[in-house]
Amino acid sequence: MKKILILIFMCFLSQNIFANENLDKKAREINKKIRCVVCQSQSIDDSDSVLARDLRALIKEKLKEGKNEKEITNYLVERYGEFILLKPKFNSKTYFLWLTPIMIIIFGVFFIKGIFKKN
Amino acid sequence: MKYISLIIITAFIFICLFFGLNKKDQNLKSPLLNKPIPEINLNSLKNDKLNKNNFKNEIILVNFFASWCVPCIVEHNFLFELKKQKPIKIYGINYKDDVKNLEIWLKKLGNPYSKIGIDKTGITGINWGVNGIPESFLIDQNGIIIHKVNGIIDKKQIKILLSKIELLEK
Repeated sequence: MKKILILIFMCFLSQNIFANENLDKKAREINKKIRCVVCQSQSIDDSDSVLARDLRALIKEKLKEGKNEKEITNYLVERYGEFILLKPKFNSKTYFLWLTPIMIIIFGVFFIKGIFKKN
Repeated sequence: MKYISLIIITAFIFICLFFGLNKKDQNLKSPLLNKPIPEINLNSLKNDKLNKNNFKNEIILVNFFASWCVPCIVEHNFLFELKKQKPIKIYGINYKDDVKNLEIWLKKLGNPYSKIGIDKTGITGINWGVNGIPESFLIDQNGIIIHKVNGIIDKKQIKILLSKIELLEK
């Protein structure tokens, strides 16, 4: 009987450990996508600023509450704007940012092609 | 002709980068502007509550500050100056601070606040989209955020705030 109880307890413990590990993993995945707004070129996963620490704790808390990634990022965007996302969404405000590299590549290809043709 | 177009495009990219990278954070508009105030439920310094019920039918300035924040000392005198010019309610949100230090700080510098909410964990700061203190929000009679000041309220900001308050009072 004692052995069975120990076994049940161990199963329960390991389940909790795995659940926590999964939660930490998911939290870190989100942290990597969130900009540290006081450091600017770092994610909150990389930053040790007070705000980054608070945001990391908040994200973990929200995951514990059962919120998903989209709900958490929406919550942060509603408060800090899209600036808080390291990878901004593609919309009317950001299309120039997303399309410029493609435009430069296309222009470059045509330009180089033109030079070769001339030669 | 091809080289001219290349120069024009390169110059355009450089101009975009120059202005884009020089843009200060202060120019970033808060997404909370023109929206109702976010969640707030804090214990106040005088052992009562600071919550949404305190934001009804009057113009209020919410100021996030702390005793450890050096720019807040500079801002403190300007808050008195603002109150002198326009006696509006200022609610202070004491951000991640030690209450004992806060009390000493207020004794030393004076207290321009009608109420002080204690945000020990910083969660209210995050709810209000605070990047770094001091930061202030001007709230209208309906509890809508009208203006946000990132950084110190100085003479220039007082002027802006006074003009906004004047508009709200009309």
